[in-house]
This record gives sequence, structure tokens and C-alpha cells, in this order.
Amino acid sequence: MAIQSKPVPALYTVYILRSTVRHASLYIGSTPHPPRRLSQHNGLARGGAARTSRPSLRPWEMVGLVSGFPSMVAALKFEWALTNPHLSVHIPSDSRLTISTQRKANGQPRRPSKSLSSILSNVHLLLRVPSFARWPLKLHFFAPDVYAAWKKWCATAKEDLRPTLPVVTDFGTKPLSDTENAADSGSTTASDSEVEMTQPEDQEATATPWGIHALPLDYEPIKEYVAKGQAVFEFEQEGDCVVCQQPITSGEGIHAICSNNTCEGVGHLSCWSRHLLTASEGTGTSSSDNIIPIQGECPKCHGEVKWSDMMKELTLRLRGRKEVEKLLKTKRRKGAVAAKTRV
Amino acid sequence: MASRCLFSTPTAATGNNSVVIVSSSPEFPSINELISKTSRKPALRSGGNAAPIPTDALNSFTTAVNVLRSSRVDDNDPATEAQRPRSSSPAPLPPWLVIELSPEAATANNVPEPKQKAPKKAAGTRRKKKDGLTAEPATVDSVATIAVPVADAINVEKPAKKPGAKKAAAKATANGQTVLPKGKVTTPAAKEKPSRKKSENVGKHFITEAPAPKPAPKPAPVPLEDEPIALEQAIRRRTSWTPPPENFPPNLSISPSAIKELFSPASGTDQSPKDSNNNVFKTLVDTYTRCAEEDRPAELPEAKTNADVLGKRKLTEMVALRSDKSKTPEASPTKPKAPKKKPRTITDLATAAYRVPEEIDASTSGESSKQETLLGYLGVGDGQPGAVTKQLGKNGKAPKKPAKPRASKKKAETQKQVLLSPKSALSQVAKQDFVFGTASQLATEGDTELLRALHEAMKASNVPDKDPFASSSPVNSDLATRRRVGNKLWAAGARADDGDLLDLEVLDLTESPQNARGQMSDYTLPRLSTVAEEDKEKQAPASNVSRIHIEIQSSADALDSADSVWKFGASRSHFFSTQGKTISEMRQEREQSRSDKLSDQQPPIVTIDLDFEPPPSNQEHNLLLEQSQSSSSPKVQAEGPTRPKYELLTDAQLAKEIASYGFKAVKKRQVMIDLLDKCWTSKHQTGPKTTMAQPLTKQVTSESAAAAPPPPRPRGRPRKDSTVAAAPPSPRARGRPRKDSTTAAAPPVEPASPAKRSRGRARMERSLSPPKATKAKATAALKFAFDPLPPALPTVSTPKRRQGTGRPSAALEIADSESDSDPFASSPMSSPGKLDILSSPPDMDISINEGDTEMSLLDASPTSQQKVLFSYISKAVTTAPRTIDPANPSWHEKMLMYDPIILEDLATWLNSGQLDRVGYDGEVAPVEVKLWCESKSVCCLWRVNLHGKERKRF
Repeated sequence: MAIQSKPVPALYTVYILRSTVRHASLYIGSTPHPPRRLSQHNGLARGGAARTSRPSLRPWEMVGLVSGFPSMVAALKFEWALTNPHLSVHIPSDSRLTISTQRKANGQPRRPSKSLSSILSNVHLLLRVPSFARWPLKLHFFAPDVYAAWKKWCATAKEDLRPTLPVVTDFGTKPLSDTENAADSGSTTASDSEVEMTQPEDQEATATPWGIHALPLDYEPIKEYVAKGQAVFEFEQEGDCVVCQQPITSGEGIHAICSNNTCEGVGHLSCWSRHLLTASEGTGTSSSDNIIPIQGECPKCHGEVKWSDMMKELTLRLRGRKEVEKLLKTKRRKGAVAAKTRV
Repeated sequence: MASRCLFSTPTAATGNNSVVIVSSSPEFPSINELISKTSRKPALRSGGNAAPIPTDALNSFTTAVNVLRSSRVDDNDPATEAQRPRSSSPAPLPPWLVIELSPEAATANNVPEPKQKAPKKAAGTRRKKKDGLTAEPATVDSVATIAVPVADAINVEKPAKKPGAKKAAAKATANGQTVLPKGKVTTPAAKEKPSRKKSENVGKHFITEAPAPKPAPKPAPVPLEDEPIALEQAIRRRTSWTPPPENFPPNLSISPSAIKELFSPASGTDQSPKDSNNNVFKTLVDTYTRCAEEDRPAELPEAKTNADVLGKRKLTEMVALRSDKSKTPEASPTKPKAPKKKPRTITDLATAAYRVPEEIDASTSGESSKQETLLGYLGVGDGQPGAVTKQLGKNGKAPKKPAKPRASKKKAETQKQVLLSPKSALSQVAKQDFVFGTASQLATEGDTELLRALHEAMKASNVPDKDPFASSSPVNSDLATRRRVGNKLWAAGARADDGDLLDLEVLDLTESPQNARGQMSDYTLPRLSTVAEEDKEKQAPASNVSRIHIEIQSSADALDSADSVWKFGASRSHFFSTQGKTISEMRQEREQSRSDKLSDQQPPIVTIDLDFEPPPSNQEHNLLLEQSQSSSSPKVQAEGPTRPKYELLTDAQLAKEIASYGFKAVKKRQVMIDLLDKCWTSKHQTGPKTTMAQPLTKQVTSESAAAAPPPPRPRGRPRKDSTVAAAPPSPRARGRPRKDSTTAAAPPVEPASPAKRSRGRARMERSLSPPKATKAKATAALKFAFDPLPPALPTVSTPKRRQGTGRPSAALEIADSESDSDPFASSPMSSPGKLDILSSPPDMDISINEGDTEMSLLDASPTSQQKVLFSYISKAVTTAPRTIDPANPSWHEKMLMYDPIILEDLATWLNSGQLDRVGYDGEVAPVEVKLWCESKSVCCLWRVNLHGKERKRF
């Protein structure tokens, strides 16, 4: 490939924007930096979409988003599909929910008007379609009503999302007094209880940032993981492949490392994928059918590993020297500071 | 009567004096009397006296008329004019006025600028005169009536408008007018200076007075009488003397109205005088109002009445100076000027040049016929005369009607000048003898006889075509004419010294098989040529048409300009449609004659074809002929049906079809159809190639036999518009002449057997009705060619060789310039750039489909067949050895790392042995790879983005 790929982005999202003034006004966009993008939509920064430039509709809020896109291309594809559910080729014709009934002047089918339910249903659909089903996506909801609508749709949907797809909610707790928090927490907790996976950080960070502002915009969450990888591969401590047990020649080939902190299991990329596919996913579908694993168990530490995290670290290590340096720079400083203090 | 007079007068003022008189005269019972009175000038004076007296109005009026007439008469004789003024002050006045003032009027009419100035000055002068007049004892009251009109000539309308002023004006006028004659006689120029001072004061006074007394006219018949008299005279004078200020649009309106009135009175008189009277009153008011308008600009409302005469003099002088320069012949002092005065507005002036012919036409329709103008040719009765008559009949609204006829006149005139009747134009063109050649050529051909002979021959050849209407059915006259001219010209250009066509090759293959063969035989078979010559001679007259046609084609080939090609293409088609029958007949004749002598010519012909491939245009022509003949070669027909009609398929079906060819989904239906066509053709090309080649040769052969395969539908579209309207999307790659190398390499030796087939004349006629799209070449060049018919494909073949030699511009004629082997060469739809891309299937796929990556025309769900393929792909991908270089991961590793996969690259990689390695015998298309990727949640994309550029970031 002539064009060098970038590392898997720390965050890339496709978001659902809703006017706080007029809830029927919705917008779908994609961004690697939701807070910045939101400020753009709200006119606080340059570059907002024209569709969201009407003052009467501002401010906008991101009521939900899909994160975890492994590349900008992937996010854009998903965004386009979600914006044009009546056209997207990723949606099988028999399962298409949104069907265009009109045609534009140029002969192209006209996009049916969007509603929250239609968007959510299509999100649900797109998360199931083969094109996106195995992407390491994650669904976030930041508005209770939206999440309620989502749940409602999930109840009526024919198929369920793959169980490994995380759906998280973060309705935030207004930065008020604790008492009020408690009062409000009733509903939020209730909703939280329904969440299949809850980000522990969210609850902890409720005091400060929440919602899109709590999303990790950089590789900070995997910093230690990256550091571990750097250390292992820098000092050529790969050892044997955890899967095929064959020795790994450092510098040759692509090797992934277990994402668990303590585990330094390294293996060939293909070995890892094969292992994860066969082991963790062999239950439902034939392993041979899938190419990309989602998550599984580390053969070494038997801990849960997510393929997206592993690939993030791997691509960072292979292609993101700059990012890694940036990421680890602070650490070194801290370390340096610590060292100084020690001294 | 007075009222009538008034009515008539305003019209008269605007219109021609003579006409006015005539028209008005019938109204007056006393006309005869008047005429008789005209001789007596003294009576006029008495009439003038009568002016103050309402009861005597008739008499006075009549006298005024008489006076005017007499003045005219006088005008004619300069001697009398000179005499009269001196001899008798009252009577002479009119002549004087007429004589002196008329130039003014003329000048005023012609030159707008002086008018404005002039009136002011005139006013001043008038005022002076008034002063002088007033100072001078008004000796002659009787003259006043006459004098007033004369003086008012410029302001005729004014007096009418300010009827109330009559009394005051009458006094003033009487004084001034009476004085005027004297003043005129004595010193026109000398008095002016001293008088000015006084005049201003007086003028103001008068001005104040005049406006006040308006209401008068209706209430009291008496004033009417007085005024009418003055008005009539004034009008005439005015017409002759002073044009109304040019600036005023009302003048225009007035003049037309005048025309109406002119006619109207005649009819009106017959009807009922009473009605006319009523009308007169109305008109009176109108006229007054109008006058007021006109006068305002002049700023000489009241003063005019009295002082007009002197003022006019001055005007005349001033004008005379200027008039000398700019004076038109019209301005001559005599009365004939009056009619010419009409065009006083700017528009009139502007259109004056055009008007003359109109008038002539109106006056004499015979002239128009002589001129053979378009109007005349068409026998347009609309001309002015008709309009005039209409106006006459209606009479109701003066201003509007005239305006219309004018406009029409203008148009008609302009057309007249610009356009000749087709006949005349053709004849004119025919008269011109053109010889085409380089200067050196022309110079070297010193032989005048030769040239003459050439011209004669050309003429002779052109004769049959001359008459545009003789042709069976000229759809578009323009086209027909153009074509004809082109024929001649090109025919001339294409002829050699001996009158033969210069381009022998072209001749050979052109529609007239005989000629062509004859020529060709010149190269290859001398015998044949002689035979052909003979045939030619035999059929000389009939062959002209065909020959001309041929010539055109040849010329078209010679031309490098696409435009010319286009034109000729269009013209050709038309020509063919019109002439086809004759051609076919001719051909038959030739065949017969030939058959006698050349029973076994066919094989040689074939060889000839190989050697000399017909220019594409010729081929087209052939095609047309064949089409017209409607005898179809079995092979061609067989081909046509085999091809599935993609147009009839649904989008989904089309998509599947495309997928079956290994292409990815295409958004647009047309593109899909086009693509399928290409695929189909390419698929069947190996077989069809020979067939395609055959049709070519067959054409020639069949032509000789007069049996040609008729493609069911016209292959090329005549025009884009027509294409759009007629057939929605029929993007056929087919239409393109496909130059198969095979044609040249492997000439199908076709026995003449098919040729012998029926002449198909009857069919031909049938087929002729729709003009065949002959211009396939040109259209193709212009990208207009959507060939609806697959079967047509083979017929269109254009010889490769031709390209090299005769091809105009490769850019224009993509089809021809296309590489022979390229099956996709002929896609009219795709832009040239895309065509290039199309040369290789995968590329084409990219180019076409790239925009549609996200579009869902294909089923996302893989079919069972695809599933097998997918399994192989998966196997191939996953079993590929892992990379050693981390920077260069394997496909599988890329996928695992969520790298976007470039489909083309992956497909290439798969096709480069990887699928074979896993046991799959076959190749995979990028579209299929895409499906596979999507089924595996592998992020994939095309190498090129929607904008047709390589992606720079992933």
C-alpha cells in the first residue's frame, strides 16, 4: 500500500446532534473530537455545519454517539450510511428500514426526513449489518429520553445487537449539590442499571466532565498498555508466540501483545486473531467465516482482551511513533519529577 | 360643419395635407363651392372677417380651405408665390407661409435639436411681431381668420386646445396676422432685434391670458366655427411648415390617428354626418388636449397665435442655415414635403430608411412582386396595404392601430432586405461560380476552357437540386438550402480538372457502388473502371444526384473540422432521406448494367474493400442505403436479438448482470446499460468480430446487389435533443464503429450471394420515411451518438486505414480513434478520459463506479455462488504468509489492524495467483472483493475517491 496508514485513532465517533431548543432537529456527524465539534455546531468555534448554524436552534447537544471507529474512513462510512439509510449499500434490502419514497430532481431518491426513532433504529440496524457488525464500536447515550427511545426500539427490533457491543449511558449529574445529585440519581441509576456495560470512569468523573466531555480524546487510557508494549518490544522481550509457541523474531513481522497489564503475552498477529476467533467466537459462528476478532481471552493470562485495544496499541507501536512519544512524554516527565523528588 | 372641419383638421395637420383635404371635403356640402371659391382670394378675406362671426362659420371655413388650396397651387409656381405676397397681403400670406416656413418644418422634422431652440426663438420673434402687430394698427380683421391659421401653423393644436383663448387670441391673431403679411414682405430678419425686448413682455401677457379661457369650444358653436377655420388652415400650414416638436411622442400617435381620420372621414361621411359631428366634438377635446401637450415643450403656448408668422420666419431662416446641411430631399419647400414630415420622431427617423420601400409596396404591390422578397414570395397580404385597409375599416382608435402596422412593417422590411426568397437565393448562389483550390492550383490551371467546362459541368450537376421545392420533402428549409449550397460548393471543390471527383477512394465506396467501383477499378481493375464509366455515362442524369451525394461525403472526410463533418452528416441524412429512392433506382440500373459485364466482380470488390476502406462517412452512407433498402443481412439480425435488452431490465437485474461481469455496482441506469452493452459486445466479440468484419464487406457487396441489412432502428441519433425526447436512455456502446483489426486482417470473403437478394426497393421507401441517422460518425464525434440498436453495431465498422488518412481529429471522433482491439472503445456515454480508463476492465470499473461505492444497487447479501468465492477469498487472505516487514503488512494483517483495504489492490493480489493457490479457478472482481470485505466487516474502499482522485489519507 503506497499510502501509509495511520494508527487506529484514539477516538472517532459518529454522533447524533439534537437541538436543545427543538428536539426534532437532528443532525448526524462524525468527529474525532466531540467537544470541539459540538462547540463548532454551537458557534463557539469556527467550522460548524451550515445545517446547525441557525441561531434559533442553538445550542445543540450530542444525545448519543457511536465511538470506536478504527479509522476515519470507517467513521465516515458509518456516518454516510446512517445519514443515508435509504441508500446505503451496507444495509441489505430485506432489512432496510428507511425506504425512500420520493426522488430528487436529479433522479436520486430523496432522503426521508429524520426523526430520533428513525436514527436510532438505523443505528441499531447498522450495528448489526455485516459491514459494521464486527467493528469495535461502542454506543453512548447522553440523554435519558434518547436512551429510552433506544431501549424501546431494542425491544421491538427483530434482532439484537451482538452481545459484545457495549452500550453505555452517561446522563451526567448536574454539578450541583450532592443532595440534588442524590435526588436526580434515582432516574439515572435506574437507567444505569440497565446499561449493559458501564464505564466506571463516568461515574467517578460525574462531578467534573460527563457525556462527550468525558470521552477519552487521546490514547491516555491505554498509556500503560502502550508503555508496556514499547518496553517489551524495545528490549526484544517478545519471547515465543503465545498461540503458536514459535519464537518471535523481533523486528520481523507484526506482533500483538496482550492488553492486560500484567500479561506480556506476545504473539503473531494472525495467531492472535486465529486464537481469538476460534476460542471466543467459535461458539456462534464458524471461526473461518470471520476475519476480524472482537474480543477474547488471552491464551497466556486468560484475561479478557479486546481486539480494538490490541490493535490500537499495535498500530501505535508500528505507525504512531509520534503519538507514542507524545503519549509517553508526560509519563517520563512525571517519572523525571518523581525521580527528582526522590533525589 | 365647423365641428367637422375641426375634426378633419387635426387629422389633416398630422397627416398629409392633400389627404386631409380630400377626406374632409366630402363632409362639407360646400366643397364644390369651396373649390369654386378657391379661385377667389378676396372671399377669403371676407371669410376672415366672418371668423369672429359664428353664424358665418361655413363660409369662412370654406374660404379657409380655398385659401389653402390656392396656396398650394401657388406653391407650385414660384413666380406666383413671389407675386402674391406682394400683390395682396391677405391672400399671399398662405403662400408665403408655405414657402418660407415649409423649409423650417422640413428642417425641424429632420433635425430635432434645432426645433427646441427654434420654437423659443420663434416665440420670441412672434412676440416681437405681436408687439409690432399690436403697435401697428390691425388694419385687416377680415384676414384674421385666414391669417390666424397661417400664423398658428406651428401651433395648430394650441389654438384648438385653447379655444377659450379665441376671443383674446382672435383679437391678437387678427392684429398680428394681419400685420404679419406686411412684416413678412418687408423685413423678416431686420425687425427681429429691436422687437425681441418687447416681444418678451407681450409674450408673457399673452401666456397668462391664453390658458384661462379653455371651456369655450363645446358650449358655444360659434367659437368652434371660428376656431375650426383657423385650425384647418393651421393644420395644413403646420404640416407644411412646422413639424410638431420632435421630442413629443404624441406626434407619432397623432400621425397615425391622422391616417385613420383620413380614411375615416370618407366612410364616416357616408354613414352619417351627425355621428361625425359628435365624434368631432370628442375629437375636438382630444385634439385640444393633445395640442396642449405638444405646445408645452415648445413653451410657446399662446404667443404663437399672434406672433407665429414672424417667429416662423425666423425659424425658417435659422433652419434654413442648418437645413442646407442636413436637409433631406424631402425638405423641399414645396408641399410634397408634407407627407414626408410624418417621421418626426426618433423612431420614425430611424426607420425612415426602411419606410420608403414600404410605402412603395403599399402604393404598388407590383413592385414587391418584382423584388421577390420573402413577403412577396409568400404572397403576404399582410403588407402595409392590408393593415391600412384594416385601419380604415375600424377607424375607432387612431393611435394604436397605426403603431402596429408600423412594427409589422419594420419587420417585414428588414426581412425583405435580409432574406431573399429561397428561389432567388438559390438562383443567386447558383449564379456564382466557385472554383476551389489553392491559389497555386488555380493559377496553374491557365486553361480557361477547362475552368469554364468545369463550371458548366458543375452547373449541370447542380441543376436538379436547384429547386428547393422540387425535393421530395424538405423537412427543414434551412437545412435543405444549406445542404444544397454545400453540395454545389463541395461538388465543385471535389472535382478534378476533367470534372471527375478528386477523391477516388471516397468515390469508390460511396453510396453509388457503381461509381465507386469504377473508380476503384481504376486502381485495381482498369476494366471495371471503364465499365463503370460507361454506366455512368448512361445514367448521367440520374447519377447526378448520387454523385453529388458522394462528393459531399468525400468533402466531409477531407474536412478536418468537426463542424463540417457534423453539418454534412446532418445534411447527408436529410439528403439521403429525400433522395434515397432515386439512388436506389439508380443503383438498380447500375447493377443491371454491370451485371451484364461484370458477372463475377464480387471477389475483386472484396479485395478492393480491403485495400481501400471507405471513409467512415461513406460507410455510414452505405449503412444508410442499406437501411433504406431494408434488406438485412441475416447475421446482423441474428446478432441483434441475441443481445439481451438491458433497457428492459430492472435496476436490480441490471446490477446483477453487471455483477456477473465482475463489475461493481453502478449508480446510474444508463451507465449500467452501457456497461452491460460493452460487456456483452466484448464477450461476444470473438465470435462477432468476424461477423462484424463481414458486414463491412457485405455492405459493399450488398450494395452492389442493392441488398443491404437494415438495422431495425436508426443507429445514431440525429440530435441530442431528439435523443432525449425520443428514447430515454439507450446508451449503446454499440453505435460506435468498431474497427476490428480483424476487418483489415481477415477480410471475410463474402460471396455475392447475399447481394443478389431483393432490391428491397419497396422496403427502402418504407424505411426512408424516417430520416436515417446518417451522421453516425459526426454524432459519435460529438458524443451524441447513443445507439439504440445493438444490431447496428457491425454495420458501422470503420476501416482502420481510414483513420490514419482521413480521420479529422482524434479528439472529436473518439470512436474512430479508438484502438481497434478495444472492445470498450465505443462507449458514447463516457467522456474521453473515461474511455481511456475503460480500456482495462478494472479501471473502467473504478471510473464508473467509484461514485457509487455507497450506493445500494447490488444486493449486499452474497449469493450462494458468491459464498463459495468468499470462502476462497477468506482462505486466500488468511492463509497468506504473514509479513516479515512490519511496515508492509499482509492483507490479512491489514484487515486485522482495521486498515482500510483498497479493493483494487486486493483484487489484483487475489487474482495474481492467490486464489489459484487456494484452489479457486478464476478471477475475482473488485466488486466481489468489496462484497467480501463488507461481509467480513473489513473496512474497504476504492483507490479513487468520489472526485476521481487518489486518496491521500485513510
